[in-house]
Amino acid sequence: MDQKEKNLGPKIRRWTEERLNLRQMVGVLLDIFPVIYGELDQRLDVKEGLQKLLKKPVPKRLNFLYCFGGMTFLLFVIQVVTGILLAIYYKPSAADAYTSVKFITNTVPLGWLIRQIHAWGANLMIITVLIHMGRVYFHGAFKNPRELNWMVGVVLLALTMGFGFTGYLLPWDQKSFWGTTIGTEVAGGVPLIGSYLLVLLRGSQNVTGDTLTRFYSVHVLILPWITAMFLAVHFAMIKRQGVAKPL
Amino acid sequence: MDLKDEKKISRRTFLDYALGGSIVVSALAVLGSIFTYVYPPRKEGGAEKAEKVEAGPVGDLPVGKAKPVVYQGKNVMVMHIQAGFFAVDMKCTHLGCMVEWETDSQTLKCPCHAAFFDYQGKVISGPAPKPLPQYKVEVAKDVIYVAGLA
Repeated sequence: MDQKEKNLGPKIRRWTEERLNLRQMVGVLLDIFPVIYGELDQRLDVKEGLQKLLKKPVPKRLNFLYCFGGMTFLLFVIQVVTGILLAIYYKPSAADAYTSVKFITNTVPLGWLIRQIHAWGANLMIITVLIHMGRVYFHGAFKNPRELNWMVGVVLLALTMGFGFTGYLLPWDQKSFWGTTIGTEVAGGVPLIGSYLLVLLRGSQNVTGDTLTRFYSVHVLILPWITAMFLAVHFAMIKRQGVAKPL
Repeated sequence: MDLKDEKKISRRTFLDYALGGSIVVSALAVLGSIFTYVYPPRKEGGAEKAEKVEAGPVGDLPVGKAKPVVYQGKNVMVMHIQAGFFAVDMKCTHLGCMVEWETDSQTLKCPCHAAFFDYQGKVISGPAPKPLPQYKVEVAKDVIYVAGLA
């Protein structure tokens, strides 16, 4: 009995090793690190910068509350990836929008998953943004010298809302149509320029196919680039100034 | 290959392998899903793909008779009456049973709850809330074809 059990471990190992050669397969992957720190480093001097970035010490006092900014960024990356995937099948026109969304949901393999990840990611992103903002506010982290980063953050909040507002119309169903109708009517209530603002947002007097292409372009072309730029500034400043100590 | 003189793996190496392996597996799972998604799916139905489906020669379907054919995955009843050829979707709009052709009364009857439809799919009686969708029928060189929704 004892003899048997002793021999079993190496036996299984040998058996899998002979057939799968796992060690080599994984080994190839691990060889990437020597390349980055070896040949690549010789030529491009990447090691020091990477080490600085990856092994940057995090202050001990940080806890879960400090993670929401990073979580928001992770969600943003997920939104970019799933958004690009959705754009493969989505057709931004009054005639095709709804059918193409239905096509993604019902026919494209895993299309329902990609669409739902995008929808849930959008909602969760609003939540994490607000928690992040609340944490910064109640810790007083927006005070001197970080006022500018707070302002950039407020712009990012507005941009996130813009994503939500423009993305809401894209499925082109009853809910999104009336949601946009009401949302743009709010802009119409602005004194003096309201009626012009309304037409500017809608692309016509009413919510039509022109509104759809307009919102689509803002959602997938304009907002992502502006957001990326503001994120870069946001991160550069936090890297320079470090995480604020709570009061 | 002689595996007897292999070296023992250190704990660190094992953990490296485990980490590398799980990264590979997760990456493959994500990339695999993305590939499945991106690879163009087969299109089913759709108004633009109105291809014709043969329903047999005219001679096989005398006046007063009907026969079912499959058109783009849907069961369609092709009927020959005095007025000509007609075709409707066989799925009863009440609860989805397949309707049958009643030769005596020249109507379509649902066997489940006795909904009756005429040759154009219109509801005559029974619990069906909507008419049956009608299909176009074309006859070319003595062959009947179902040619899309009417």
